This record gives sequence, structure tokens and C-alpha cells, in this order.
Amino acid sequence: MLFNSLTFLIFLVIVFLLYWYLFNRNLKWQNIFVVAISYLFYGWWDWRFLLLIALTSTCSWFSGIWIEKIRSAQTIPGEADPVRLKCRWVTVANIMLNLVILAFFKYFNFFEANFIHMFQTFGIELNSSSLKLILPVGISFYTFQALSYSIDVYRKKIEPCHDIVSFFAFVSFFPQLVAGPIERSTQLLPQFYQPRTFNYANALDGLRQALWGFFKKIVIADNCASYANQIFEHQQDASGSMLLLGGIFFTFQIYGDFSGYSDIAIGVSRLFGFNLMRNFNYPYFSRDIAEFWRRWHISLTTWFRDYLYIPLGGSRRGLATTIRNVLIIFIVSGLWHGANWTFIIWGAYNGLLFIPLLLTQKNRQHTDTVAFGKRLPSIKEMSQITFTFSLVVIGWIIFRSDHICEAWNYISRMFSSTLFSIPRIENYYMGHKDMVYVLLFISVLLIVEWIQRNKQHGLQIDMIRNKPVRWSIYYCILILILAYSNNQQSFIYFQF
Amino acid sequence: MNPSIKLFLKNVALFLIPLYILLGIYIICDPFKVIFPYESFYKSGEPPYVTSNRCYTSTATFDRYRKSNKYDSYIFGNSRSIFYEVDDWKKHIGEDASCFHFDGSSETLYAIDQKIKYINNKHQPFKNALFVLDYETLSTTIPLESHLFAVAPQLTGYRNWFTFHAAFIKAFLSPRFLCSYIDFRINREVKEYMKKGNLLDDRPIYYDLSTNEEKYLHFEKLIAEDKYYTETKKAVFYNRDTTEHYSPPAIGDKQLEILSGIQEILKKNNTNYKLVISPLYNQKKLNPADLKILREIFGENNVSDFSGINELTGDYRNYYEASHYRPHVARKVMECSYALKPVNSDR
Repeated sequence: MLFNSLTFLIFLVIVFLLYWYLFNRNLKWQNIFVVAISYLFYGWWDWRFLLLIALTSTCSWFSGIWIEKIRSAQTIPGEADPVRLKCRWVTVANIMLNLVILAFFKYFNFFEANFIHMFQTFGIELNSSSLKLILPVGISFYTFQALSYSIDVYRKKIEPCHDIVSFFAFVSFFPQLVAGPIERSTQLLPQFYQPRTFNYANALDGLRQALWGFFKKIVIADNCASYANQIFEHQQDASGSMLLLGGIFFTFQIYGDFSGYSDIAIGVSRLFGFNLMRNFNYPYFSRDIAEFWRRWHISLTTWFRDYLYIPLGGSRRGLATTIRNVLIIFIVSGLWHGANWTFIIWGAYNGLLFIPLLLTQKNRQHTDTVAFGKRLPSIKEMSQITFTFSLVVIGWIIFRSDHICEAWNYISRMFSSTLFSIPRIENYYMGHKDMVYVLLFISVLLIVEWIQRNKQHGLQIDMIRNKPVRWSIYYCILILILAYSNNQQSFIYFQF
Repeated sequence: MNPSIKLFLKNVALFLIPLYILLGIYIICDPFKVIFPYESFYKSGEPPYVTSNRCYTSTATFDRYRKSNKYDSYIFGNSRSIFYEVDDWKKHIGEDASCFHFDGSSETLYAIDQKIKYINNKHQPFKNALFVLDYETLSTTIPLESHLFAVAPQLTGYRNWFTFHAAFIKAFLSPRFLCSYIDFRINREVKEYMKKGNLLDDRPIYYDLSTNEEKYLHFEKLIAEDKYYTETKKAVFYNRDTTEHYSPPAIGDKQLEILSGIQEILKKNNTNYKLVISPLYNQKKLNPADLKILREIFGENNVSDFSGINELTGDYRNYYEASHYRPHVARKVMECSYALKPVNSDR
């Protein structure tokens, strides 16, 4: 069930009313209801996916209970180490099981194709298996969420969850199930233990955030997608300037698409009395690549930081180890996005951009809000933002390409002499007028987000006291959403 | 009841008042003619004004008149198939045939399959069938979602009833359509901006309710008077090169399954059928692998390919625009197909 469908809107209204009016008297029943609607939401794609999510949830829940039993069975003082070892084995077994499921569904086709190709280079012909797997929607998101619980229980950051219903609700919570934010058990799980109360201001702002998310998805991302797709498809005939435009369109497409989803997910969760973590913090206003990664897909970046980077030694074991660790997490992060060499190269590219900042110890130089308290950025800040944005665009071109060669050709063609020519759009199925509209919407997005860069989301406009003005803004956004809603496209991050 | 939820719902309800009004207008006016039943969806000699979903209008017309008209012969395909005139077809299948145009806009193989199953399930006689196909029709096996191309809910046993109507509500609420529609309702005039995206249409249709046949006679009249191919009209006929180009293979596993299912139904009903591959202006020849599969399933003599470079596709005057060919071309296609004659060099 797509957020940007009428089916979801009707689903949301019904679920909201039942949640607050029928199931609000009993926490247990309310959580059972959350699990039921989340499974309905997820099963809408394919009911077979439910078996996988149920398996992941059951295994992770049991691993927590098992660890607790091992710990409570420890009675003899001085036997701490065997207990720790047993807990570690249970945790590792659960992690391995989840990763095997993830790897099987996500990477089987990729590794098979690469093995066949590798053997072909040695003259050995292997037949492709007939097993072509469908990637379950959002498998990487809920697997990582379940893993975070397992590791946190092992690290004693959270008590094992006894209530299986709450745990199932935590893993499958429908607003963030298929594309995040990847919630931590310490953050979200306790919210299922306590009765939720309806907060008018929070729910209203949740609606605003969801509306802003729809704007980013439908008006920005889907429109940019139609141009980006055409330019990437016909890249061999395009001039450098046109290819640059294609890269910029994709840059805004992926931002509108993914951050739009996160805004809708967070906004919808607030309607149900849940607070999810922030996933985007105006990343395109970053002054260097390190700041960009503190502001883009925050829930994944911090996940890798806490569960991979720090266990590998983080930055405590010298510069060489730090650089190695940074490269590892970026490459793994690339691989997390999908089974394609372009994602791995994209991850490595970002890791390499990080190294100069590590070497000069400037990776934590920009932790504040850009131009805080000022209307406009300084020339220095502006040039830093533009430079970082350019690096990000190149990264997204690699990310968007189907093959490494395609990415290389795209970028080399882009940096040809035709980079400074006027883009000619006559060769594409796109009108000048429509493209001007899209560029106008991108400008609106940038202006609004610049003004609101200290706020949680672009439409946090409760400071406008005049209700008709506020409502006029909502109506304008709604009209734009309706105007472009026929061009309905799925979310990019569902495939991850 | 929690007072803050009450206040929240009240404010949301107030905010949505314009939406209720628009939905009221939508139901009362029924601009796409998908809410209320109609004896006829078109008035012969008049424009349809609001473009309707042809799959829906065809199916609803079929439902309404199938018993009284005792249909037994059907023409399937996309909008290109409307130029296969019933009078011409009857010359090949017999004058006593009761024909019905069962086409849809941007028809897909999926939709054709649904229609054939529907006829079969209704136990309607199925003596003759003519399939007007091309690469686009063959390659699409999933239902399209846009309001103009969505499959009529009757055909799917109402499984897509909700998404079908949701597509129309969305189309109605789009500001571009709403502005055009309100302007049209006030001024009763279709302006140029309204025609963009097939929102409104002021071309008169000559319509035969008994066969569900549409004719664009005014185009033919303009051509006869040498007034049709103006410089603007001619501009859409892009240049083509002289080398033969092929469409990528369209028939995969899913298509194979659907086509075999269609063949089974045709065989069961002892239907006399022909499949023709449209002579399109783009001169792209259907992939030989697709043609081979079609001939294997439906028989060598029942599949005729008119795509690619040939005498029909060479002359731009055989087309209204780069997408639709004229009735005399369809007539020639039928003649060649039923007489097993090649056009130019290829059959």
C-alpha cells in the first residue's frame, strides 16, 4: 500500500478512528490492533512477505528472552564469562540468521550473476539457476531494526521485551516499516509499553509534516523523476549541460522521495501518539561531506556508527584505523542499498570524500546550523554549500546508473566542453514550460527549507498566528499535490 | 470522547469542506459517465466533450445490449482498432454476423484477456474475432492505472472497483481538469488548453450504438476537400530512415500464458479469428521471435504482420497523425489478412 494512494488515505482514516475510539481503552488490544493493521499494510504488497517479517520478529524476540534466561540462570559468582559467551552466541546466531535471510533475498541474484561472470572469464560456463527471487519490500529496514534490538539487549542497553505483541508492533509499525526511519529499540519499543494519549498540537503538526512529505514526494520527486529518467535514458545524445541537469533532477528526486517518505512516516506516527526519530535535517545545505552524512538518512548513518563503526574501533585507534573504519562503513552502507556495484562504488566514493576531512581533522567542523541567526549565508558558506552539493550530485549519478561503465560515461560526458552549452530539451518528451514549473517548485522547496532550517520540517508554521493565512498555505500545497497526483510513482527506497 | 480528538476531527472536517463540495459536483455531474447507467455514452454527430474510458463504455454497452443484439463477433484492440469498420469486416465473415467493437484506449494484452474471459463466462456466442495488435498491446500484461486506461470493473469481477473509481476521482480533482471542466460547463466551448492531455475533446463522433462503432467522418471529409494535411498537421510526421528496425521482443512468460489461455477459449468456442499486427507509422517491425510465437499459438494463416516498411506505412496520408491509420488502411489489412495476401513484400 503506497502512502501516495487513495487506498492509504482511506485506510488511515479508518485506522485512526478505530485506534482512538475502539482500542484506546486497553493497551494490549491497541498494540494487537497496531500489529494487525501493520501486517495488513505490509501484506497489501504480497502476503508471502508477512512470513519473513514474522520470522525475523519471532527469532529476535526469542533471542532476547533466551539471553535473559541465560543471565538469570547465573547463580555462581565468578561464572560471568561463560554467561557472556553464551549470550554472545545467542546474539550472533540471531544476527546471522537475520543477515542470511537478508542476504539471500537481496543479494542471491547479484552474487550468482557475478560468479557466473567470473567463471566465464576463465572459460568455464555455468548455467544461471531458475531461482529468481523477488525482493521483499523494506526488508533491509525492518531487519536492521530487529538487529538493533538484539544487540541492545546483549549490550544491556534495554531489558528484553516480554510482551511479544509489543515487540511485533515495534518491528512492523506500519508508518516506518518499509522505508524507515530505522528506529532503535531503546527509542520506539518503550512507547508500546505505555498508554498513548492524543496530543492535539502534536497530531496537528504531524498532519502538517505529512502534508509537506506529500509535497516533496508528489510535486518534487515525481516530477523530477520524469525528467531525470528521460535524461538518463538518452544520455548518449545529451550535452554536458543536459547531463548536469539530469544529475540535479535526480538529486532532488531522491531527496524529495526519501525525505518525503520519512516526513509522512513521522507525521502519521504522531497522529497515533508515537514519536519517531528524525531522518533528514536539510542535507543539501551542508558545508562539507561529513555534515551531509550527519544530515542525510540519519537513522541509517547512526545505526552504522553505533553497531559497526564503534565496535570496529571507531576513531580511538589511530588515523589509519579510523580511515579504514570509515571506508568500511561507507562501502557496507553502499551494499545495504542494493546488490549492484554502483552502490558499492557510490559508498566508496563517499568514503573517499571523507578522508581529507579526517586527515585535516575537520570532519566535525560543521555541527551547527548554517548561517544561524542570519537570513542569508556568507559567500564562504555559499561556496562551501555549492561545492558539497556538486560532490553529492556526482555521487547520485553513480547511484542512479545501472552499471559502473554507464556512470563513468555519464560523468565524463558531463564534464565535456558542452557542459557550458545551453541545455536543449527538444530531443526529449518534455516541454519547456513544464520544466520551468519543476525548477520553480525546486526553488520553492529550497527557499522554504532554508527559512525553516531550524525547524523539524518545512511546514512547521505554527508561528503564523493568522488561521486563514495558514489554511491558504495548506490549500496551495494540497492543490499542487492534486495537480500532480496522477503521475503516481513508487518510492525509490522501497527497493532497499 | 476525548475533547482534543473531537476538536482535531472538527478542524480537519472544516478544512475539507471544499473537498465535499467538489465530490458532490463529481457525483451529480458524473463527467466521466462512470457513476450512473447510460443508454448510450455517445450522441452520434456530437463531440463527447469529456474524454471517457473507452474500456468502460464498451463493456457497459456490451452488458446492456448483448442479449438484445445477440453479439457473436468482436473486434479487440486499442484505439487503432476503431478504424476497422464493421461493414468492411462483414464482407469477410458474413453479413449475418452481429458485430461489436470491444476496444479500449491504450488496450493491453491483460485487458483483451479479461474481455475474452468475460464473453466466455457470459456464454455469449463467439463466432468471429479480430485482434488488432502492436508492440505496446502485446508487451503490457498488467492493468494500467490512469483513469482513461483502467480496466472496467465488470471485467475483473469488480476486484478493481475501488482503484477504478479512485482513478476517476483523482482525475476529477486535478486542478487542470477541474479548471477546464468548469470553464467548459460555463461557456460550453472547448478551448485549446482544455485539449491538452486528452481532458476534453470537441471532435464529433459518428456513433453506431448497435455495434459500438465510432467514426471520425469529419476527418475524412477534410481530407477529401484537401484541407486536413496542413503544415501543422504534417509536422507530426517525422522522418524515418530506410533501414528496417525491429521492436524489442514483447512476448515473455506472462504473455505466453495469456495468449495460450486466449487460444484455448477461441478453440473451445470454435471461433474464426484473425490477428493483425498494425501497420504503424514508426515502421518498426514486430520482433520475429514474437511473430513466430504468435503463429505457433494461433496458426500460420491466422496471424498477419503489417508492421515495418511496406506500402501501407510509407505514405503519411494513410495516417491521421503518427499514431492512428485511416479506415482504408484497415480495410486493406483485412482484405490481405482474410485473403492471405501479402502487403508489398511481407505478410
